This record gives sequence, C-alpha cells and structure tokens, in this order.
Amino acid sequence: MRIVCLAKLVPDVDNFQYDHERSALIRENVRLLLNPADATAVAIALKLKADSRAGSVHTVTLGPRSAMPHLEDLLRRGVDRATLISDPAYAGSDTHVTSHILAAFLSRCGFDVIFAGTHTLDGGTGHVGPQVAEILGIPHMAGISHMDPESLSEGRAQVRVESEEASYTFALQLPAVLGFAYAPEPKLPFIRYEALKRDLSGRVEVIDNQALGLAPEQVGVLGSLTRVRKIHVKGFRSPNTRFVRPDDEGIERVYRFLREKGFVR
Amino acid sequence: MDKDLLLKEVRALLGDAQVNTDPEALYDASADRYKKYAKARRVLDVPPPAAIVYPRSTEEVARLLSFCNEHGINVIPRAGKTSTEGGLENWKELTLVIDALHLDKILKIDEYNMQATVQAGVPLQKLEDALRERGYTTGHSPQSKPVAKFGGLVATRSIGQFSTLYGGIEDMVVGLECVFPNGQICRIKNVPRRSGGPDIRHIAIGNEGSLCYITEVTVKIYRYFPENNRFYGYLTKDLATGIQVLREVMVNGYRPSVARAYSEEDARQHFYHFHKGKCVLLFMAEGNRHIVDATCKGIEEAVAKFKDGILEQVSSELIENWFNHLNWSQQDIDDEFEGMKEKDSHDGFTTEVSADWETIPKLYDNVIRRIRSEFPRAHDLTLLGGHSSHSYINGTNMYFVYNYEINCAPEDEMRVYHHPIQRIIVEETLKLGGSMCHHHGIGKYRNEWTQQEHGSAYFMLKKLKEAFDPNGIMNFGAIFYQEEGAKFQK
Ligand SMILES: Cc1cc2nc3c(=O)[nH]c(=O)nc-3n(C[C@H](O)[C@H](O)[C@H](O)COP(=O)(O)OP(=O)(O)OC[C@H]3O[C@@H](n4cnc5c(N)ncnc54)[C@H](O)[C@@H]3O)c2cc1C
Repeated sequence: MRIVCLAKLVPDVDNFQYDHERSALIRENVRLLLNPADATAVAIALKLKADSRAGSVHTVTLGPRSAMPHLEDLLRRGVDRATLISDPAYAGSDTHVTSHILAAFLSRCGFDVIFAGTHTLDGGTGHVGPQVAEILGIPHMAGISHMDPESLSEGRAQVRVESEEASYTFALQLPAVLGFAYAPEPKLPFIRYEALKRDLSGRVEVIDNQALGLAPEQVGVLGSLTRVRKIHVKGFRSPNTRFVRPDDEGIERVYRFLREKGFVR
Repeated sequence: MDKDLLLKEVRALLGDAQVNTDPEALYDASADRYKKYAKARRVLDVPPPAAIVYPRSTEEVARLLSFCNEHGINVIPRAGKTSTEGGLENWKELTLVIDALHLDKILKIDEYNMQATVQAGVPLQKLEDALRERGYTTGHSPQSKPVAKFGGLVATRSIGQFSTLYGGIEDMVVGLECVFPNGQICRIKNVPRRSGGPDIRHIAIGNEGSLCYITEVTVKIYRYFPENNRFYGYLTKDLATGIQVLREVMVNGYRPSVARAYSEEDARQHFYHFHKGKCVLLFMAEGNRHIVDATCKGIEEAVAKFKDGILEQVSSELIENWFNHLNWSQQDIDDEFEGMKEKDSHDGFTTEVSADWETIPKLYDNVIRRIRSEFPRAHDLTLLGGHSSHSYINGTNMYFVYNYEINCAPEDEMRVYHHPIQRIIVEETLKLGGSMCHHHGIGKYRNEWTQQEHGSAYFMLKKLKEAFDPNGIMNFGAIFYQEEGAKFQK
C-alpha cells in the first residue's frame, strides 16, 4: 500500500508579527510549522507503516523553498519520500488552483490512498482535500477521527467522523482522499540523533511548473477564482491596564470583569 | 568500597534518619535543571548517587568529608537545588550528596554592624523576610530567591536583580565557614576590610562544591526604603541604544538597582503587553530619597542624550508590576517540570556571558548571526534573543535566551539543541575576550572551556584543586574537565 500525504507548512500563527505602523504582516523570519492536522495524517501513515500495513509513505507539499528543512525532518521521522512543489508562478494561488496543482502531480505519482489534514491553521477553508478528490474523481471524507487499519487490506477505508450530535461510520472505496481531524495522538515519531546525520539525497525532490506543465493562466493569481481583498489582523489594542489590590474591592472588580466577559457565571 | 558498605558506614556515622536512599529522591538527585527535560521524561543517562545525607552540624560535615576523602567517594554538596549548569549532576557510581537541609538556622542579625550570619541551608527568602520585618534587606535578589539557599548562592557566585546597586554575592559576603575534604574546618572572620594577604574568601566563593563545603555565611545588610522605589521603562529602536544608555548611566557614577536592556525577541516574551515589537530599556532606582532623586536625574539625562534611539516612554506602573512578578517560586519550577512530562517543550534555556561595553553589542550580533546561519535546527527555534541585566563601570552581561520546538527524542535534546547553541555563544564570547559564565557558574558542561576562560591563570585554579582536593572527591566534573565525564557531555 502506497500512502501519499498532503503536508502543508503553515506560518506559526501564535508568533505572528505585525507591523502596526505600516499595517502589514511581517513575513521575514516567520517560522514555519507542519500544519497540525497534516501532522496527524502523516503520523497515522507512519504508524501503519510501522505496523506493516503500509509499504511506503510519500509526502507532497506545495510551498516555498524554506519548507525544505521541515521536509527533511519528515524523512528523518520515517517518511520514505518527500516532494516539494515550488514555483514563483504559483504565488497567490487560491485553494482552487492549489488543488489543481496538487492533483496534476498526484495523478502521475502513483498512490493507493491519499491522507490529508481536514483544516489548516492559516487558511482553514477545508477546500483542498475535497477539491483534489473531485479533480481526481475519487471519494473523499473530511473530519476523520479514527480509521480502522484492518479495513485497508480489504481495499476500503472504514472511518469514523464525529459531529456534535453523533458519531458516524463510513466506508470508502479506495483509492480515496481521507481528511483527518487534528488529534494529539498518534504523534509523529521523534527524530533520533543518529538520523540527523543520515544522507537524505535522492529522497527529497523539488519540482516546478516545468515538470507539471500547467498553463500560466491556470495558476497563481491569474488562475484563482477567489481574491484576498484585505487582511484584517484581529486584536492589538493597547490594553487598558488597571491595577487592583488583593483586597475585597480588587477581588470584586476582577470578578465583575470576568462575569461581564462571560468567563464566570 | 562498594555501595552497601558505603551505606553501612555512612549510617553508622550519622544515624539512619539522616541518610536517604529512597529511589525517587536518588533519581531526583542524579541531575539538576540542566537536564530538566530528560529528567522529567525519565530518560536520564547519569547514575543516581548512593545516598543523600543530611548533616546537622559543621562537625558532621567534617566527618563525612574526611570519610569520603579517605575512601575516594565523590561528594556533591547541595543546597536549594536550583542549579542550572549541571553542578548537581552526578557522574560517579559512588557518590554522596551532602544536603544542607538541617543547616537551616539564621544565627545572628546584627543591626548595628549591618551584617547577618546564616547556615548554608537557609533559603535567601527566609533571611530576606526576617530582615524586611526590621527594615533591612540583603540586597540579593536572584530570580530563584524563594528557593535558592546560601550554600549554593555563595558556591555559584550568584547575582541578583538589584546587582547594579548592591553587587553580586562576592560583594556581600563578609566572612564564612567552610570544610575541606581532609576535614579541616576554616572560619574566615568578619571584618570590614583587611590586607592580610590574598582574599581567601574567594577560594570558597564560586567553588561550586569542587573545593570545599560551605557551612556558614555572613553577609552585609542594607537599610530598605521601598517607599522610594522609582521605575522607568522605554521602547528603544535597537538593543545597541539600550546598551549605550546603560553605559552612560554607569560611567556617570549612578547606581540604579536595576538597569536592563532587552532585544526585541526577549522583550516580546517578557513585556507582551507593551513591547510593540521593539526593544525595551528599563531602570529601577532604590535607596534613600536623596540618592534616588539623583539617580533618577542621571537616568533621565542619559535617556535624553540618546533620545534619537528612544521611541517612547512606558508607564512606570507597568515596569513595577512586572518586577513584582519576576521571581520563580518552587511552584513555578514544579509546574514547568509537570508540563515537560506531557509536552514536547519547556520554558527555554539561557547562557549568560559578560564583556566590556565595546564588545557586548558585537558579541550579541555575532552570536545571533551564527546561530541563525549555522545551527542545523534553526527552523525549530521559537525564541532567540537576549538582555543585559547586570552592568558595571567597564561593561555588562548578556543573558542569551532561547527556546525551540523539541522534535527529537527527550534523551537527545541537549546534544541536538542546547549544546550546539551554547557552544556558539561560548566560542564567540571567548573569541572576543569576554567571560563565558557571568553568574550561573561553569557547572559540568562548560568545563571543556575552563582552561580557555582563564588562559595562563588556569595554573592558579588548577593548583587550588590539587592543593585542597588532592584526591579529587569534590563534585567530580564541576569546573574542571574530566575525560571520564565526556560521555555525558556529548
Ligand atoms: C528559576 C531560576 C532562576 C534563577 N535566577 C538566577 C539569578 O537571577 N541569578 C543567579 O545568579 N542565578 C540564578 N539561578 C541559578 C541558581 O539559582 C543559582 O546558581 C543559585 O545560586 C543556586 O543556589 P542553590 O541553593 O539552589 O544551589 P544548588 O542548586 O543546590 O547548588 C548549586 C551549586 O553549588 C554547589 N553547592 C551547593 N551548596 C553548597 C555548599 N554548601 N558548599 C559548597 N558548594 C555548594 C553545588 O554542588 C552546585 O554546584 C536561577 C535558577 C533558577 C532555577
């Protein structure tokens, strides 16, 4: 069984910097991290491989070159092959174009099943998984919280999806795109000290539009069906700091404040 | 001698109640906060000591030391357990940890002569509380004040947050009592000053348990005027501006108790509510009213002189409030420890160096540049910055702070992350003639550079070890490089 995982590197949103004078996001030195739900998907794939239920795990990433150290880390964690699709022409691509680019690669790389995270930390639209499935003409399921590993050997994937009201079980015919919800377990395996020195050459490839051959008007801003009109950064107001003493009056004030904000009832 | 016989002998020497062989306590005693993450994950690679012993008097310490000296048993002196550089880490199979638990008495507070005498196991907070009740202070306030004890504070040459006014522990210690491996008890008397040959207090101060066991300490005390405290805070355009202002204040002869300059990254973690992505400069003036008035004037003049680099002034209330919550209690330390059991992260690491005024900004830039470009795990860094927090007439310190997402196995964390970063900091510091260890001590992981740190004067240091600890029983690996310990370092 060949598993391909869609793995996106997202900016570390907790440590985002914003230039308040120029009202712009500071993009230099922004730390990247593997999208948490994608990490769950890769971790599940690696677990299947460790349990001899999968033969190979291949990650596919559309993103900037700065993603490279993270992809190398995925290899050190046990992924067999990593592909970075990177081309300046892809800058500004929306989820529709992104799905087409990924599908163009996937349709030629060979897979038995595609794993993905359902949501990303930065965009969060949840579009890419279903769109890729649609383009490839295969089934898709999002928000998967559990997959029965046994079912894979029967050519299908039996998965569980939770909603607020109920827990549903579905079976999908393979090949399919399985979108996993973030879960703290399983975790990605640790990188071992010895693995840091391992030669990774030949296992990570970077491909560009020349290899995929998409027309210029199909990609980037030109090909996108949606536009980002404005980025609105939530928050930063100088907090209205008020100091209170640890006496009855201070406690009462804090209590009233918390009640007003709905933190206590 | 084997472990069983050692325990039998030690029990005969002290009695059962003063000998602890509880496995959990021994695991805890096998390492300090240097390997905090591996320790929390229970993957320590160092052996546990044979026992922790709790002497009740200087004489018991002397008996224990001469016994260990005779039988070649490694000794690790221990006080508050806040050691950060491996000072408490054990590298020997046969080790006794001598804990100052019962040496816990404040012996004298002498208000007329402005000095206080305590035993080595007295927590700094305990003396400080007793002094505050009477309107005095020790002036010593490391962030670990609630937990650290006098034996450790003196043995590490610790320094507090108000050092620019009161100095480091070496400026506070008047006299002390210590015990050498052969059982010799030495009392250094308490006089205001003398020229009786070299100042032998410095053989004990900073010895990190590698020469002698400190049992008693007398420190200076100071009148305390909290009502006069004044605070200043500024956002600055860069760290170099902050350091220039610090220098200006210092060279004009002012002694604010606190004088600090933070890089953007470090400011972000400390002053999230007002840093605005800029560097931060702050001061606290303390003491009697006239001195505070003069110090404030000095600070304001220095800030005015460098106004081009000052972006705005911050409410002094914010600075005061921040200071009041800076110390780490035992609860904070325990909380971090509990957190590390579950999460692949901790609260970060620090490496503290010092150099003259001219060198510090260069040193800072070189270190940051090298880490960003050479450290193979730079993409895992979640924090990299620093601050200057202890200034002198001729220079200042740089407290590098860093944290990272831990993506390796817990047992590999030090060699994958901390060591390569620390190595760059130490190398750059020594290259520019600075000191690689401003206040945490050398411990066991920087011992590889002790000789380079001291240069030709290493001769003097080595002779002290040979003279006072000829059998090498005192804190194996602390300060002095040991080939046998290298396996734990790499
Ligand atoms: C949260 C936190 C904040 C800190 N902040 C500061 C700070 O602001 N400034 C600062 O300088 N340090 C700071 N430190 C480091 C640490 O607190 C100091 O090094 C302190 O002096 C150690 O004291 P201790 O009593 O905890 O000693 P321990 O940790 O018990 O021992 C430290 C070293 O001293 C030796 N030793 C202990 N007792 C004796 C003795 N009786 N005789 C001979 N040797 C002995 C030990 O063998 C060891 O090498 C901080 C640590 C933490 C965890």
